[in-house]
Formats: sequence, C-alpha cells, structure tokens
Amino acid sequence: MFRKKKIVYLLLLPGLTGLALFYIGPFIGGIWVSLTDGTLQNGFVGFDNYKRVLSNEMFRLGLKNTLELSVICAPLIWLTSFLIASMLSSIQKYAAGFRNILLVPYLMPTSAMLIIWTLLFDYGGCINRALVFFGFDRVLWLSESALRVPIVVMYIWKNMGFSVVLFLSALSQIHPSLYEYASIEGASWWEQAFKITMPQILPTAFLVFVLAWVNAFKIFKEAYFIGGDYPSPEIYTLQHYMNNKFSSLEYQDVTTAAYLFAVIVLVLFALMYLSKSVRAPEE
Amino acid sequence: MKKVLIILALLLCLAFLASAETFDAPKSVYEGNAFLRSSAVWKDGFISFCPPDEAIFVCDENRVFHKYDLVYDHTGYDEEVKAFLKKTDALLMDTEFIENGNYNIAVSGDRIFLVHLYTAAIYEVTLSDSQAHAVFKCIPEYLPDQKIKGIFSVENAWADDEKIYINVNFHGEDGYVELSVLNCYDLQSFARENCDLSLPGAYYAYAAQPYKEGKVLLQATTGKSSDNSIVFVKDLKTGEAEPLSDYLSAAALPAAYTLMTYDAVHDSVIIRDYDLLYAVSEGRPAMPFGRIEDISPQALILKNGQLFTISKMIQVFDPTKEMAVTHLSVLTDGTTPPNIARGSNIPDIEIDVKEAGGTVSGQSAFDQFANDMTIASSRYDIYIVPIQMADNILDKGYYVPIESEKAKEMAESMYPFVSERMADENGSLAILPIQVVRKNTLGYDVRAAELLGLTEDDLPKTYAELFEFIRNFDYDYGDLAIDYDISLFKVTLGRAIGLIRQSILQETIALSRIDREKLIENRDEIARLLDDTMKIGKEVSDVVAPYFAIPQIFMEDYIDAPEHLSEPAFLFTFDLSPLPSSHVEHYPYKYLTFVSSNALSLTDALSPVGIYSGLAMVVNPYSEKIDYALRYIDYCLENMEGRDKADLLMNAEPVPSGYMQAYESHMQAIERNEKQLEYETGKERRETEEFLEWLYQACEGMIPFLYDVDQNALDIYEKDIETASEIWLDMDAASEPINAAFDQFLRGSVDGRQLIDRILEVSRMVGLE
Repeated sequence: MFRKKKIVYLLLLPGLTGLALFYIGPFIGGIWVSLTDGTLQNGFVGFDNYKRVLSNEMFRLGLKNTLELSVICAPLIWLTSFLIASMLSSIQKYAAGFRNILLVPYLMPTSAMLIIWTLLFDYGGCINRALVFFGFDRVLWLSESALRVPIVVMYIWKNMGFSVVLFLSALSQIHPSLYEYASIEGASWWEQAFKITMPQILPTAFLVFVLAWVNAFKIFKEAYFIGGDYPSPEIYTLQHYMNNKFSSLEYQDVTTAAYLFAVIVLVLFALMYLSKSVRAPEE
Repeated sequence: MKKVLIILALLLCLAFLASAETFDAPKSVYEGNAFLRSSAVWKDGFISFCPPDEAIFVCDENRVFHKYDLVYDHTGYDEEVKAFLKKTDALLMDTEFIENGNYNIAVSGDRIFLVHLYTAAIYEVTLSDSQAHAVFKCIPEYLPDQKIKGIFSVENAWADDEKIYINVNFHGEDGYVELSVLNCYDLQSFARENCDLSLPGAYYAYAAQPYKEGKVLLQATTGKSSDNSIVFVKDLKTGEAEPLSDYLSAAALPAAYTLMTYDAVHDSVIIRDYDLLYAVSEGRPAMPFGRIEDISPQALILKNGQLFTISKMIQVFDPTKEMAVTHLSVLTDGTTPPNIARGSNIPDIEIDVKEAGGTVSGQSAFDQFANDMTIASSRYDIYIVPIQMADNILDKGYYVPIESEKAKEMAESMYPFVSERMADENGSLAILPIQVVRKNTLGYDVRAAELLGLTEDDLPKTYAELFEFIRNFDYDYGDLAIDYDISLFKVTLGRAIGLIRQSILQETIALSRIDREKLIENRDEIARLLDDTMKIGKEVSDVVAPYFAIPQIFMEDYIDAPEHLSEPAFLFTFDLSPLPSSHVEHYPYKYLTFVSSNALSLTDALSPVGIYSGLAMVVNPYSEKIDYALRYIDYCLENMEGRDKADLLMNAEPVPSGYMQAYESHMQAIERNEKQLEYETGKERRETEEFLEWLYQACEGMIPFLYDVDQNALDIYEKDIETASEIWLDMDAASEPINAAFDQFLRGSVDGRQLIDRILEVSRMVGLE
C-alpha cells in the first residue's frame, strides 16, 4: 500500500509543481505586492493600499456592479440551462444535435459575437424595429442603464451551452424507474422535480452554479467592447477599474482590488459549500 | 573603484581614437576640400581624380597629397565620339552627358586609366612633374546586345595586369537601374568580353566590384529601391552566383547592407550598414570595426591592409580590430521621427528600433512599457511613450533622470506647461520629448480677408460668432467672394461644419478634464452650439464654397516659389497647428484660436483650450545599459531639430526653411551673373539678362517663405500660451467613451445637452479613479 501511495504522489508531482509555481507562488507573492507602494524603491506601506482602494468610489461601483451582474446572470444561466437540459433529456433521440447547436456560441470568439449583437440591439436594429412594430418606443439599448439587458442576454446566450451539457450529463444518470414509481404513487411534476431530480443532480447543480458565478464575475469583454474604458456607470465592472489602473501603472491598486475581490468570492463560496443542502444526497 | 572607472573611460576613448583616424582631402582651387570623385590604390597610397579641379591627386604613404593638373590629348576622340553618338541615337543621351568632365580612375600596375562617366572613353595617364597627361585611347564597345532606352553611366572601373573592367548601368526613364553590364577589355587591343551579371530569382545587379579567383561581388536588389539590397558572389567563368552570406557561410549579416570593397590583404569583404562598417570573413559573423561619417564614400584597401574611405575627408580604419558596439533597443509604435531614434553617430552605440505595432500614438509601446515595468524587464533600453503618460511614469519613478548639462539647459528653457510634464521634483529631465503636437485650430488667409474688406476685429472670436458669420457671409461678402473666387472654407461647407463640430466636441472633452465646474456652468451654451452644428448645414447653401480646393505644397521643390499659393482661394482653413513649427510664415495665414461659447453669456469667457499630445523617450530603469542609453539621449538632445525645439523652448531661434537654401543659392547666382554682365555682349549678354530676370522673380516669390519659424511666429505662440488653458490629452483615447453617444447625437437620438452629460459623466469617472 505504501508503494502505491508513493507512485501516486510521484505521478501528481508535475501537476503539483506547476500549481505551486504558477498559482500558489504568484498568489502569495501578489500579497506582498499589495502591501508595497509600487515605486522603483518598492517600499512597504502596510494596508494603505487596501484603505485607499476600499475608499475609492469607482472600486466600490465596479464591485457593486460585478456582484449585481453575477446575482442576475448566475441564477438565470442556471435556470435556463436546467430547463433546456430537462427538455432535451426528454427527447433523447435529438438531444445531441441541439446540444451541439447550443455549444456553438460558447466556441465563438467574443468579438465576432459582439458585433452581431450590437447590430441587433442598435437603435435601428431588429430588436427596436420589433418593439416599434408592437407599438412600443425604441430603446437606447447600448447606452446608460438599458445596456445591462444586452450584456446579460449576450452573456447567457454565450455561456448557456456548457451548463446545458453538464446538466444533461447529470440528468442522464437518474434512473427512469424512479420517475415511474413516483408517477404510480401519484407525484406531480413539481414533486418529482424537487424530490427526485434535484437531490440526484445536486452536486452537478452546485458545480454549474459555481461556474456560472465565476464566469459572471468575468463579465467585461462585452461591456468593454461596447462602452470602452469608461462605459455607463451601470456596467462599469471591477475589471474596468483594474484595466484602467493597470494602464496608468497603478499596479498596487490592481493587485489590491483583485485580492479584495478574491476574499469576497471565497467567503461567498465557503458559505454556499457549508450549507447542508449542497452535501451529497441521502439515499 | 573610481580610478578603475576613469582608466576604463580613457581606454575606451583611446580605443575609439585608435579605430579611425581622419585627415582632410587636399584643398580645392575653389573653396573647401577637393572632391575626390574616383580613387584607386596606387603604390603605397592611392590616386584620385578630382573633376572640379581637373586634376589628379596622389596620396603617398605619408598621407601627403601631390597634385597633377590634367592635360588632355584628344587625338582621335572626335571621330569616335561621333560614331558613338550615332549608335546612341535611340538612347536618352545628349551633349550635356558627352561633355561632362567626370571620370572613373583605374590602375593596372604602373598604368593609370581614366574612364569617362558616360561614354566610357578610355584615357591613359602618365604623371610628370606637376602634370598628368591624359591620352585618348578609344571609346570601347559597351552597349548591350538587347535594345534599351535610357541613360547609361559607368558605375565602376578597375583593372588588373591584363584587363580593364568597366561596369555600366543603364537607367530607365524613371532613373532606376534597368540593366547592369560588366565588360572587360584587353589592355593592349581593348577588345571586349562581355561578362554575364545575371542573378538568380528576382535580383538584379546594380554595382560590381572585383573579388578573387575570377569572381566579382555584385550589389543587388529586387525592386526599384536599394533598401533591401544584398551582395552576391558571381563566378564569371561558370556563371554561378550565390549570396555572400551563403558563400562565406557567414551568419548574422545585417538585413540590408551596402558593399564597400574586397579586402585582399585579409581576405574579407567590407560592407556597410548605414554608417557602421563590417568585415565579413569565411565562417564568421560580420565584425564591426568602425563608423564612417560620410555615408557615401569610396573605400580602398591599401597595401598595408588599412581601409581608407575617401570623400572630402579621408578616414582610416584597421579592419581587423573589432569595435565594441553596444546595441541599444528602442521600442516605438512606428511613429518615431527617424532622425532621432534611428540615426546615431556615436561610434560604439548601435540603435535597434523595434516597432510595437498599434495605431494610437505610442499606446502599444506604452502597454509594453507597463508590462515590462511589472516584471522589471530589461528587454528594451528606451521606450517611446505618449507624453500624456508622463505623470504616471514620474509618480512611479519608472525612469532614469537625465542630468547632463545639456538636459539641464533644456529643462530650464522649456515652456512651463511642458517642463511640468517632463521634469521630476528635482527639476531633472525625466523624459525627453521628441514630438509635440497641438490640436489644429482655425486659420484664415490674410490676403483673402483683405480682399473681402475684413479686419481682424471683423473676424469671429467664438464658435457662436463663427456660426453667425457663416450665416451672413453670403449676404455680406458673397458678391466680392465670387468676384475674387474665394470660398469661405478650404473644404466644402458640409465638411467644414463637421470639422467645427468635432472641434467643439474635443474642446468640451478637454474642458471637462481641466475644469469640470466651468463646463457645468456653461453646459447649456455649449449644448446649443452642438445642436446648432446640426442645423446650420441645412440653413446655409454652399454657394460661396463652389469647389473643393486643396493646395498641394511640394516642399521638395525649392526652385520656384509655390505659385499655387500666389492667389488666395479660401478664407478659413482647419490645417493649422498653432505650434511655431507649423510653417506659419509658409502660408500667408494667421491662425485663430477660439474661445468657447461662453463669450455669449454674461459670465467670464472661457479661455481657449490648447490640447497637446506627443511622444517622449524614457530610459528603462531596469536596463543593463543605462549609461549608453543616457549618452544616446544626450546625442538626441544635441541633434534636436530647430523646429522641434521651437515647439518646446521659450528661447528657440528662428528656423530657416528649405526655401532659404535655394534663396541663398539664387542670391549667389545673381551676384556671379551680375559680374559676368560687365564682360558680356551680344547673345551671351541677353541670355544672362534673361536668367537674371528669372532669378529676381524667383527670389521675390520666395521672400514670404524663407522662415519656417521666425520671431513673429514665436511671439504669437507665446501670447497664445498666456491666454490658453493647456492639457496634455490623447484625444483618441479620451473620445472613445464618448463615441457611442456622439454617434447617437449625429443620428438625432440624443441632443447636445445629453451628449455633454455623458462627457461630464466620463470625466467624473476618470477623476474618481
């Protein structure tokens, strides 16, 4: 047994070394960077950078918008993916084809996708024409607060496919006999969903939720492409803040902001994980 | 340690001194040194032909020149040249070329030959006392077998014990080499052998030099230009040709280089990359050994193995002693003025310019700078960055202070709004500006204004007044404008309105960064201006701007004053930068800077906004060659052009224009010809008088254009600086967040007020960050 364990560690060594060198090491090194002044002399300044960044209105705005967009996008992606996966799992024969179609946006380059969506949401684009057709006024989708709608729609459209694949895989593991027994016992669709489906796919559902959150935190490309370095305040994200700070050589602020955000995210995920409902389902 | 450094510095100087001696060419009968057009190795020194002096100069082993005045014996020449001209009837040659007194010199043992530049007529020269007797031998056959139309010239001539070789280039009508031919002639009979100079691929030869073992070295290129030329080794017996780098198995030759000569003493080929000389030998990389001051000299290897480069000055090199050359890497985005970043006459420093790409001025080089500072990279020694980023660079200390005397002088002389950007808290120059640009302003043609009866007071001082002027122009001045053929703007009215709108937008953005509160106070007025730009185009017809007139200024044409500027064609133009180097006196323009719309209200007028941008060099503090980088920066400081200085320094001197050289040359010609008139009569006198008349007119036409920058331009600029608010801003980057809103404004989905609100929102975000 000891010999087997030794082999396991040996096989893991390259991966662990890479992890240590390229993730853990820089992560720890970055903490030091966030505690220095960033000049050529690189003096230690303690928590001054943290105080400055936390008191910066634009950091707080970026953080707020990032969290809000995550709160909007993550559940929406989760829900739409689950619904679509449920529908596809009931048409097993054709599911593969639809799944592939849903994966295409995930594989498309963001910039190419954005060009098409900005045309759609343009003042004279298809969406507004449809609104006018149905008797509504045109909306300036690509400016001010309305810009959140196309950003969210684009994000969901692009990232949904991968979540659908994960859900499909989880749903395919549930034995159909469970649903048969439930139907015989008189369980409704809702009861079957909450008492059979959910518990069975909970680990995958949690994974999808985590991925959706993580990806939602990275909403930036879309907002940057449309709004540039300084988009409307409603879609100014944390990454805008960090991008602009990097361009101004304010590396300390970038690092500090990143660590503050990392702490918030870690706390959130820790809370989610510790919650009983995400533990393995009871038999 | 200090002693060691001093000794090292002294050794470095000695090494530099040892690598190149210099002595002057002999004095000419005219002013200055003699022009030694063609030279060849002669005994222990060399022999040269000097066309202006019509003399042969011999330089002996002690570097003493002996002059021999040429005496020609042209017996037999007239008959042969007539026959030659008949054959060349189809070519573009005339007597001007035939009578040209230029020759190439070739030496075979003790025999000296002169070969005419255009006819290839061969003269054999014997030296006696102080005379060189040149006896005509023949005009050898050298026309190619194929028919070709153009001008031909003897590129080079050399001789060995038995033959004389003449390399002839045939230039097409565009002046480029169409065909290069090498002929060799027996020195007794002058019978011709044609040597094939064809090369593989798309290469063609345009210059030939002797090599060894029946081979020649050919300078070759693929296009019309010699920019990408390389050298081939061609075996005249077998016809095989291969690039020099392959023939010598020599790696690391410069990408493009010029052939100088073959060093038979050390069996190496001497090449030149711009001003740096290399010796290339079998199996070894090119070895740098010296730097020439004149990039077009002839090169000779004397019997003692020294390399002489000969022009009006002679430099002597030892091609076996490697010169330590430090390569400095300069990162730019491709917009760098070449005279600063690319050229360097510092012998031991070679500048490698790398282009970062990107389209915004300096931005991608700055992105690389930002990345490199995070990792303390020494990859590049000098970066060319936007001046707008100077604050960030200075805050972080990512620079090396430039503390030489020259730099201190410059920092003290800069306009305050410039020095605040460039200098650190100790007053030392932190970044070196190499290009300063100010946003264009409206200018007007003073002659057009005079013809229309407009004084300076009549001209608009604000954008609102300009719009009123445009609306009323047709009524007030339309008839006169049509009579004098003057249009309101240099461009069509529609285009002009677009440019005015752009200008208002840019100044509003700039004002939002300088003084946000003032913009908020004047928001409504400026919004009305912007809305007005959308209406005015529809209200005013284009009747007084009937054509699209863009005068082309060909600055290379210094012979005549620009006739296309002789009459005014339009009143206003947007072309003018207010900087002194904007050729204020080239155009008969003055410029206007506009006050923002606040002049209409009862509150204080807003001052004009000067939007500056530009590029600067910053030394990488992590570079391993900081000393060399600082030396190079000093070189750039010393060689900064007068025009660039005028944009930065308060005490800049007036800068003469290209017309000045032509003007001075014309004035000298006037003086010479006026003296000549005293002795001439008849037809010659009439011709001189006509020429003088042309000279007088040309000079008079040039007078308004003699100075790029003069005291008047400097005074106007100083006054403008006093009244304007300056901001250093990359307008492309600053406008980007507004572009979407501006598009909507142009489409009518938002009004001026909403557009300004967006500008204010962005400026608030920038300020808070």
